[in-house]
Amino acid sequence: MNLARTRWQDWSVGWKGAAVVALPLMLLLAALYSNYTLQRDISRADDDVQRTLTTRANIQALHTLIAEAASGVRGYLLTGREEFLSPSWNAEQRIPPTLSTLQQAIQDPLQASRLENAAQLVATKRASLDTLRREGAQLAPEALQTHLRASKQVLDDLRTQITQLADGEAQLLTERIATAAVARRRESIANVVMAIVGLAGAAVALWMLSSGIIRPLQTAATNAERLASGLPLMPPPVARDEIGQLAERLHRASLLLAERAEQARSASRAKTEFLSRTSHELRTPLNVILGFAQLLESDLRGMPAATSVEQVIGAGRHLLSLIDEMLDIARIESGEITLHPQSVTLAPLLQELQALTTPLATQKGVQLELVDTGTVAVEADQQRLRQVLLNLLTNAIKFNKPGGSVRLSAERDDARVRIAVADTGIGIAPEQIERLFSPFERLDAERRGVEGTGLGLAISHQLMKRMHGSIEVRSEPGRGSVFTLVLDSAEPAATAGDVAQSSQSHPSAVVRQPSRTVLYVEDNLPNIALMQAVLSRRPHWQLSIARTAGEGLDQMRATRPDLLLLDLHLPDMAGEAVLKALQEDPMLRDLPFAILSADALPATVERLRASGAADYLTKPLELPRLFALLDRYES
Amino acid sequence: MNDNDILASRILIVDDQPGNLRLLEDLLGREGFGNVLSTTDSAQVIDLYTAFDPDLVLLDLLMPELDGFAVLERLARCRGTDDFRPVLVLTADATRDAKRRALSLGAKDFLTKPFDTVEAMLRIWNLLETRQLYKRLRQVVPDAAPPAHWRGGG
Repeated sequence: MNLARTRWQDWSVGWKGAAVVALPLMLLLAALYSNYTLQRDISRADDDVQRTLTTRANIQALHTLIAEAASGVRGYLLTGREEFLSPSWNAEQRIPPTLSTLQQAIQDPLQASRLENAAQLVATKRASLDTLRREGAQLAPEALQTHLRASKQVLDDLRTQITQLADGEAQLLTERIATAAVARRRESIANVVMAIVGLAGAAVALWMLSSGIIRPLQTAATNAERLASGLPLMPPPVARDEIGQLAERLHRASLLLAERAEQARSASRAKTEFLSRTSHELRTPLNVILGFAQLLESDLRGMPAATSVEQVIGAGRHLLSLIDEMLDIARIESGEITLHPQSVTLAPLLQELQALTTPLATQKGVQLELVDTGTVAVEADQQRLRQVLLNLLTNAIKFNKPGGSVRLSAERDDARVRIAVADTGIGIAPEQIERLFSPFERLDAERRGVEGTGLGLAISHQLMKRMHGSIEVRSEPGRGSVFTLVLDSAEPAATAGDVAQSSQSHPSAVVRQPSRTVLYVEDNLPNIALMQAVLSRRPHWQLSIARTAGEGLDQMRATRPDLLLLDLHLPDMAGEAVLKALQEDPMLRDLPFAILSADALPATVERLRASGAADYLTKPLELPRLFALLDRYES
Repeated sequence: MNDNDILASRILIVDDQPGNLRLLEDLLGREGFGNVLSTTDSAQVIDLYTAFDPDLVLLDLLMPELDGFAVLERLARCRGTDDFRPVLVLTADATRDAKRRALSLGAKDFLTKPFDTVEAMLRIWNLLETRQLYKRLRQVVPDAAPPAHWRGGG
């Protein structure tokens, strides 16, 4: 990757880490190198100072040694005693090493030339001293004095040279001390600069670390947390590194999750929709079955077949309640259920329940006993209460022993009513009673081969809670159980009286001979629709329509219908003119026709009846009258 | 007011299921109603309503294309504001929402299918009684003339 052209945020985490480590490392190396260089400079300057000091001491020593040698020789000459020569000799022996040390130490060219002069003078002096030592005792005083004067001149020159040499070294010393001081000051400045650069470098590294790694990681971590809690994600920093990819993946995961959640919700909606649609689809044919069964029941009242129809009605109603239960499950699952509390008189309800469950009880060999409850009434949703009681009753029968019994009773207890369903069945162990009302808890029903969804008691429990009631259970394994519903009592409601059934005959659709034709001359579309709907009940009448009088007359002449229905407000011809045209045409003169009009004035009716019309129908249409008219022209 | 006034009432039934239409027609016929018109085509309701001028409409809610709610809206538009012309909704959709919506759109009563035949007849009778009383009131107080479309077209 071309890092130089890439934004810092887009660097890969590896490169970012390397950069964050490398930057301080480079700063440290630079600091170390700079420090090393400065220290070397300082140490050189210090060495120079030290050497100059040594040189100065050596110059001084050279001076002393020459003086010492000279004074030894002088003592020997004055006294003639040899013992003076020994220190002089010693001093002279030490002069050459001192000189060579100096020659090595001095590098300054000016000083070197001075040292060279001094060395020549030293050599001359030493030669003179040698001569004096060897021959001095034998020399004449005058010659000796001359020699001594010459030697003194050499010594003076030498002293001058040495003084100059020493002065030169002193000057060098001053210079070198200054150089060392400059190097030290430079080092302290460099230290300050390095400290500042180091701090800045640390700050830059920290920023790089924070902006390139830590903050994006924190955002990613927060977003992961929000994703887990189902919250919308914060916008992640746009970057193409691994963290950027992580953020991008999180974002995509959140979209995916939202999509899945939406799918789940829509699946749930689809399920509810499906259940309610299915329920509707089942209810519609059931309506026809139950409706006609009721009609049959009233027709067959008192006849043996009536019981068969009662069975049909009973089964239909049972099917209906099954559909309701299916819907209940859906509604309870979606938390939406509507109750209609009202005063429910128990006696008829319990009788109905007894009748409903008797076939099952008979089948299982269980005796069903209903205790008369008088006028006791409860405040409840009748349909739901029926549902709960039916559930308890069928359970009591299903989980009973052959030859056992179920007792249904109710009693008032202050402001409450207790409805008890007692059985002599297998009973429920105490530790199982708690689990009884959990959804899909069937205890050992599976083992006993009892059918059911395991939702019945859970639904009952929820429904009773919603009706401000409760279910109590008392049970003894092997002896039987008592399920008791506790509800608020209510005043008995007045029952609606039966309505006398009317038994008027209705023209039934008997098959008659086909194909009578009727022509309706009418321009108004709603009236045409009406006539079409009416005549669909008389399939043997074929309806044709003409929208204008002219068209109508043409059709009449062409097809000659069995009956003509005539509107008198037509767009192309006045009603009177149409009637006149009918009467003047020999083909149409005896065509039976009826007039349909909104005009119901008695005078008009009278006048038009006189024109030979078979009937005069006012709008809105009286259907029995129209049917009667049609029936008259059946044959 | 005697029973014959009520039995002469015009009743329009709208349901896409022919079985349901037959059931209601038979029920009403046994009761003695003769002016009963029915259709399975909800798109025709307004035309039939205009032409037939019914005293009571029995309306199914779930129908293809034009559903009962749409029919209710159209009926409300062509009915006079001071006119009492009841619509009884009959549907297998037993949800609270369906009831509320139908009633808020002007339905006067609601029956859930499968309905009890006696209850259905009682409710129909009650609505028609009210309708007849309204018509009689109109005869006594004629100033509020019925809208023109009462008389139908043509």
